[in-house]
Amino acid sequence: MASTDELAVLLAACARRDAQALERLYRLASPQLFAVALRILRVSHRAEEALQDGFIRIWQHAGEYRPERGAPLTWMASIVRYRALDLRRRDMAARVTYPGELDHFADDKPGPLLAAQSAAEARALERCLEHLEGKQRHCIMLAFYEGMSHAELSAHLHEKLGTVKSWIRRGLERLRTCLQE
Amino acid sequence: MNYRDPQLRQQLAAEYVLGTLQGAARLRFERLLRDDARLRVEVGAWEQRLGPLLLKMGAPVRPPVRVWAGIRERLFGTATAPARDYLWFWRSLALGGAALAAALLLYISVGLYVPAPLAPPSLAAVLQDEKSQSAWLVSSSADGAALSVKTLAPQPLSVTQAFELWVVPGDGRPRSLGLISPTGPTQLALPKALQPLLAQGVVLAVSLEPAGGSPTGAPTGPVLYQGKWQTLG
Repeated sequence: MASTDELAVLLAACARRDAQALERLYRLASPQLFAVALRILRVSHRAEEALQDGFIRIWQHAGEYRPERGAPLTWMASIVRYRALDLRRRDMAARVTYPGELDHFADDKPGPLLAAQSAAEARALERCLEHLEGKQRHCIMLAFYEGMSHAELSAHLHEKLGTVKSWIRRGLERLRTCLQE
Repeated sequence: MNYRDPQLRQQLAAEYVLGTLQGAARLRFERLLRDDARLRVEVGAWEQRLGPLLLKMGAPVRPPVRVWAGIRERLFGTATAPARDYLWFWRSLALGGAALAAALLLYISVGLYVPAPLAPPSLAAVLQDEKSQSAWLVSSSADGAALSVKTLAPQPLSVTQAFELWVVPGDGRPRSLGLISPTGPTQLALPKALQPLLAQGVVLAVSLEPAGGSPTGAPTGPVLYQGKWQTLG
């Protein structure tokens, strides 16, 4: 795992249009970022597209990265995740179905964080997630990890749309208050 | 909806980052984000709060090599890293071909415009990528009511993507001129309202958009090519 410092230096070089820095950045970060895209899109070719689009965006916006907004890997993963969510939404609108049992992925237990770059922040988040009601946590995790919409969550959990919406709203609000403490 | 209500702003920012803010509401929120710095701060705060989850989305998986090849192709149009010899060979051939095509098309289009001595000067633009490789030739019809777009470097796009042509007039707000074919020539009708915007010196740009074009009316994807609208020849 590359150090946060090295990734930040590479991002700064990308902002100066250093193509070799981009290649190294890709080599170091792409496996972790591909995992993010795969988790949401499940099919390799779609995840590849999200990763590719994500890296184009990373290159174009590298100059906007600020360390105070989080670790470089998190910043990049967030770009790739947004792109994956876009593609997923488009697939859902076109009624493309994804392979794989949802429950296989629906592990919502906050386990040890992989490669946490800011261990304190990660621990705080885990602690606060544990304080949520099970249903609130489950919905938030499914939405974050699988990219599920309110409607999909409602169908998946056999709960009313309004119920799911309020679990998420209250869960997020509790999370925010807890993280402020 | 009252977007000034702090609680609502907080909630929308959270659900935007979580991903459950979807459809028209998401697009509206994204438009709002563009001009609302404080809302961007809220979003940034939520990205930071949920950020640690991103790194436990699964064990790292090495992506197929074609992903990097595609990135390099889209950004630089050619190999920038030490490529295998045969790859380099084909790429250099392709590059030479594209440059030749560019020169030829420019020559042809200039040639086409020259024979009408009394016609107003024809305007055109050669759009280039970041490496100054010419990729598109855009020219207008004599009456200014249509645009012709030729690709100088045909490139396959996935079915979910499209190239969109924009004019960026003096006010800096891009207006869409339409979608253009990644591989063949495109003719675009130029609506009356847009014709005055195509004045000498404005910038034309091509962005990468979702299939069907930008959902927001402004470029949402990267701007990959641009060039100045000017007199040719």
